[in-house]
Order: sequence, then structure tokens, then C-alpha cells
Amino acid sequence: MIIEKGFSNHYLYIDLTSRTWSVKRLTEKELTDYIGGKGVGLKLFNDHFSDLAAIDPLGPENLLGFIMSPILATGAPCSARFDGVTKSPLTGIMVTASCGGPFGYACKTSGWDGVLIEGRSEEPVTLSIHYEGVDFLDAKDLWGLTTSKVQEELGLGVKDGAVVIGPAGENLVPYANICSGHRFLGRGGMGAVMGSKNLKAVVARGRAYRVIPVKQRKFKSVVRRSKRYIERNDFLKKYRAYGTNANVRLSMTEKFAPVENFQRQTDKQIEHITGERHKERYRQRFSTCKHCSILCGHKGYYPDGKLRQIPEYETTGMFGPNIGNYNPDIIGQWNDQLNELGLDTISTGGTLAWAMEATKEGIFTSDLRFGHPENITETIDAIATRSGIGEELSKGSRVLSKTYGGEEFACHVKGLEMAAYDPRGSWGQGLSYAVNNRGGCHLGSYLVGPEAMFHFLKPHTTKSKAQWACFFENIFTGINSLQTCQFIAFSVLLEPPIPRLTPLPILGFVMSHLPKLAIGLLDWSLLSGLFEAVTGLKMSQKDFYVAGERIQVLERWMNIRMGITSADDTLPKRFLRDTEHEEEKTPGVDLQPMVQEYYELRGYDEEGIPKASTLERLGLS
Amino acid sequence: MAFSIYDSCIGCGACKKVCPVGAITGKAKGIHLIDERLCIECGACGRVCPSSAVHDFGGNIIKRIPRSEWLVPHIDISSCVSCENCVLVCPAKVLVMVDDEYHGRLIPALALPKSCVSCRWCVENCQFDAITMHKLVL
Repeated sequence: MIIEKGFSNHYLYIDLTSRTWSVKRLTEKELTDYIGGKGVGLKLFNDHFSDLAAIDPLGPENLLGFIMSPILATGAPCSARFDGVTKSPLTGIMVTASCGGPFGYACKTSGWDGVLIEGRSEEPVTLSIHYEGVDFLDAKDLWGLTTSKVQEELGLGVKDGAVVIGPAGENLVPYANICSGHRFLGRGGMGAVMGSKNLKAVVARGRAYRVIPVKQRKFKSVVRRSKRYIERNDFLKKYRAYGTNANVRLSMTEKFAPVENFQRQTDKQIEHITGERHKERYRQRFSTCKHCSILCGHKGYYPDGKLRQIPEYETTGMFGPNIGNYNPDIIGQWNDQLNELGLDTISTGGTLAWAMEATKEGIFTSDLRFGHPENITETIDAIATRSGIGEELSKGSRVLSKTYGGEEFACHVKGLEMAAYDPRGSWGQGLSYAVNNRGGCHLGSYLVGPEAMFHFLKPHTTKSKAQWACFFENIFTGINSLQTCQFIAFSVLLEPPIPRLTPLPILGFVMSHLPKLAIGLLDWSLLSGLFEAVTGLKMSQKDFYVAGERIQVLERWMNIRMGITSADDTLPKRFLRDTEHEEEKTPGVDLQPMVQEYYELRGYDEEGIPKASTLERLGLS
Repeated sequence: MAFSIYDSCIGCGACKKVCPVGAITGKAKGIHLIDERLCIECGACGRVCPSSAVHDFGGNIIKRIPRSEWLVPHIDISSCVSCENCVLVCPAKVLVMVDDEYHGRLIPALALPKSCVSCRWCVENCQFDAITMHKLVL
């Protein structure tokens, strides 16, 4: 059996309350307009509800969607990814996340392009999805098990893939995550939504179908070109060698490290936890997503003899300098512990650091101190079980700072804790955090890349930042809908002849002063080409970009209806420019002019609400 | 979709023995059955069947081929980057990572060539075009 045109176009709606299921289909135009993954997920979520504000994220009415993409299971580079969509219990707005675990491949080849779950089961339940439909299985025996244990107990065959939650999700910790293999739908508390539905696991029994690209010759040429670009991109070579921990040294030299809850931006001791140090210390091996060509994931042997997943940069940052710890061994152990319990490492690290600073300031009572890692292990356990101090800490830094004070150093945006990139080291990254739809996530437009890593743009200026924020948000959203790995953007955009052969100073000048011209000269036809080759549906480079913009504005429009205002598009006071005390501290981010310019470019009014003309232009009205 | 067995099955059990995922059940001299939930469509059952009873989902009979003619993966180490994905995906568990002093890294190797069922999962999963299928040369 073959899935034609990349889409099976069967979206499975499961109601856990009544234990029934139904199937929905989309039109060809809707699929082209929203591409797949994130885009289709948001579209289906939006269409399902008339009043988005009334949804209780942990109530039975909330919808949890796992959406596959058109290129999944074709073997294209970094393509075995799927997207999660729901209303977040941490932020109260939409959250989407991308994961490279085995569930995506299995679900797509079981014939379902999406699984959307609503309702709440009375008893713990596991869903088994196969090409004929859904089985509801008892999960009482699995309740309480950690993420790796439950995947073992499920007895997954070679064709199967699962998404599961750990104890944190069961206990409704608002920043619990969902696990598939050793990969995660990390941010925004999707695990708690799954836990609130009494759903321990969803297993897909795959390989009933195959996805064959419609335009075989074009597909082969696009894949060959993208692999060539990935192979020769210097940045991705570093990721292959050291993982995302390649950023650790840069965070020290370029001053975007989060030292002690972002009080300082660099520290010499960061040298102990760099990617290079990880590589030589742990005899690193690859441990990647399926169909990965970049190979940023690694595992390694720790001194206690265990083979562990090496933490990502964000985890290293949040559990390293952010809490005053420079011992890579225990970061690896905590990473393992957090993964087993099903907790988001960034939000946990951010909340712990807030608690440490609040304790130091005397507004919060705990034993947590910067530079004292002794009690972190038990605190993480307490958070996952919501016992003792964990009951308070599990609420996240926004709720804690509203209760106890210390909002100026609660490092979150819209309730989502910021990742380990200090916006004062890259103002564009500050804009990226502030206007990102899901909150303090680093992946919105990731301007720390062009600023502090590639040095195309000057980090401490507001010039052209809004243009680039819009551009990268649209491209990344397109990539997350297509769906391939976001890191591929570096090779797709930088390796075609024009950016590759232009000397860095000229490239930097054009990007800073003539952003429209620079965007006009860039080429991302690889991404639209991939969609076209697999589905046979026409898509130009511009169509792909506009689809990214449409999805981005749709998400914003949904968030507005859930209560987001322009006041939420900001950074914690710690990072903002303080004109009165300018000389005393590192200059903060001059955010407001960038945000206003961003609104204008996006077609939002001054309050950050998409104008009627913008919604009409993108077909969203 | 899975492979299945026609009534011409003589119940010799050769397919049951060769199946890498234990998808085939049946008693001696009785008609055997393939569990479609487990079948990985490698076709090994058909290639050993003396009565040509195995067919794919399109109804095509799988021809019997002597074991010496079966194709096994050949890994070009100069293209291989040791990502380990072929080893992880191998349903017959015949590929392993070995420490190779000459290359100074771990490399994948076909440890049990006679147990390989020519399913090509390793080839499909390799992103570096390092695996090709050849006849086993001893």
C-alpha cells in the first residue's frame, strides 16, 4: 500500500471519554496552505474550537495533537519528525513542539497523518493505533513508570513507535514533557496535558503503508543537493563533532551564557563544560533521530560506567552556569534523571535558578544555593512528584514570582522559561524571545546565530533586527511544518552560491543595511522543492515563505484570542535597557523600537493584534 | 502490508526458522500463518519455501533462491560516519558496532552474515549512501 502525494490525509480524532474515534480530511488547498506538521496542527486546533479562551489546558476539552508531515517516511534528510500541538498549561496559550522520535515514522506508515486526542479516560489508558483504527488498552500496570521503563514494558516491535509520559506528566507538572525513544516534545507542558487525560502512552503500529514521492527524479536531486549542503556547512560540522554543546564555548566568548540566573553573561569556569571537553571526557558516539544527516545527538560513557545521552546545549547551560555548577558529570546525570521523569530541562533549570536567587534575596525559603549542586537531585525528584518544596517549584517561575515577588529576575517570557541564551549578548535574540508565539523559546527566529555565532549582524544594535526576525520565523515555521530539522536552515540558506561565495564583510553589510535585498538574494527552493517533489503539488519558494507567515500569524491570532496582549511581548526587567542606570551595568536590550517595527512588518496594529487586512491577505479571516 | 502464505504450504517449517521477527506460526505438516502486525516484508520466508507458497500483498509469488545467492549489506567505510542507525534499525540484529583500530573509531560490521535476511532496512536508513547489497563472498 502506498500513501499518495505525501499525505494520507486521514486525521484521527480520538475521544477518550466515550472511547470512540472518527476521521477528518482536509482539502488539497488547506494542505498546501498549511504544509503539514505545525501548520496543519494549528489549523485543526483552531477549527475545532469556537472559544479558544474557554479551554482549560488540563481539562477534558483540551485537544492534544500529534501531526505528521508530508515528507515523513520518504527518507529525505532529517525528515523523521512529527509535531505536537496543544494549549499549554504553563503559558495558557498555544504550544507546538517538534520531535525526532520513532513515533512519527510509525504513525505515518500506519496510515494516519495526525492523531488528535480529546476527553479524559476514567482509568489510565494506552492507545494502540494501527491502520484499521484504534484500540484502547488498560495502562494501570504502566502508571508510575519512568519514560524508558514504560517503553520497555510496552513491548514495542521493530515496526512500532510510541509517545509516553513519565511520572512528572502523571502528576500534572505544568512543564512535563512527552518522550518518544530518547527524543522529546520538550516545552510547554504537553506531558501534563497527556497526564490530565489519564493517557500514559500512544503506540503506533507502523509500516502498513509506504510513502513514495510523486516526482522521483526531482526528489532525488533535491535530496542529493541538501545532503551536499549539510556535508559542507562548517557550522553543522561542529554540531556533528560536538553536538549542540559546540555553543558552550561561544556562549563564554560571545557573552550570552546564563551565569547564575542570567546575573552575569560569562564565566571562565564554563571552559570545564564545553563541547570539546564533553567529547574527550565521555568517548562520544552518535545517538540521533531517525533519518538524520546532521548527527548532533550523542551518547557517551560516564565515569560511573553508564552509557548516557549527552545533554544538549540548553540543558548544559541551564544546569551548568545558570545554577553555578561547572561539573559536566552531574549535568549528564541530571539530564538522565529529568528525561526519565519526563521533565523539561530548560523550564526546570530556569525555575531552580529563580528559586536560588529568590532564596538569596530572602523572598523565598529553600535550601537551594548557587554553586551548591548537592540537593538538586532530590529537588528534581520532588518536583516530579510534587512533594515538599517540589509542590511550589512545580508551578514554574511565572507563578512563583507573582506569589513571592522577584518578577524582575524571573527569566521567562509569557510564562515559558528562557533558554540558555542571554539576550544582552544578542539583541536580536531578545526580540526573538519577546515576540515568539510560544514564549521564551530560543527557536523562534534564533537570531543569536546570525549575530553571535556567524557574525553577520552586529549584536548590540536594533538595526534590521525586525526584518530578520520575521524572515527567520517564517522560514523556521515552514521547516517545522514540512517537517525537517530546524538546523537544516543553516545549510539551506548559507550554502547556495551567493551567500557561500560572498566575503563575510560584504555579506554582513548587505544583511545589516539592505535586509530586503539580502532576503531577495537568498535561496530556500530546496525546502519548497522537497514539498513539491513528494506531494506533486506546486509550491514555489515564495509560496513556502507565505505559508510560514500564514501559520505564524494564525498562531498569533489564536494567542490573541487566548488573552495575549502587546504587554506580554517583552523581556524580564533584568534584560531591558535601563536609561537611568546605564553606566552601572551591561547595557540592556533596547527592545521597544524593535517590537514596534516587528508589528509593522507583520501587519499587526500597535497593540500587536493582526489587522483585518493581514488576516484577509493570508486567508485567515 | 504483510506477506501471506497460500494453501500450497506443506508445513515444513523452513519459513518459521528463517523469520527474524518471529512472525510465522504453525505446526509441522500444517499450513503456516504470518502475523501481519509483526511481518517486516523481508521476503526471507518466500526465498526458503520449497512449495512457493509465500506471496506479497500484490499477490506475487516470492521465488525460492539458494541461500548463497542472497544479498547482504556491504558497508563502504570511507562514506560511513558511524552514526549507528543501520545497527539500531536491523530487525535481524546481524549488524554490530566494532572498534576498528585502523580507522580509529567504531564502525558497523556484518557480524552474522548467514543470519542476514536481505531486508534492506539498513540501506533504506543510511543517510550517507554507504551501504550497498552484494552477494556474500567468503
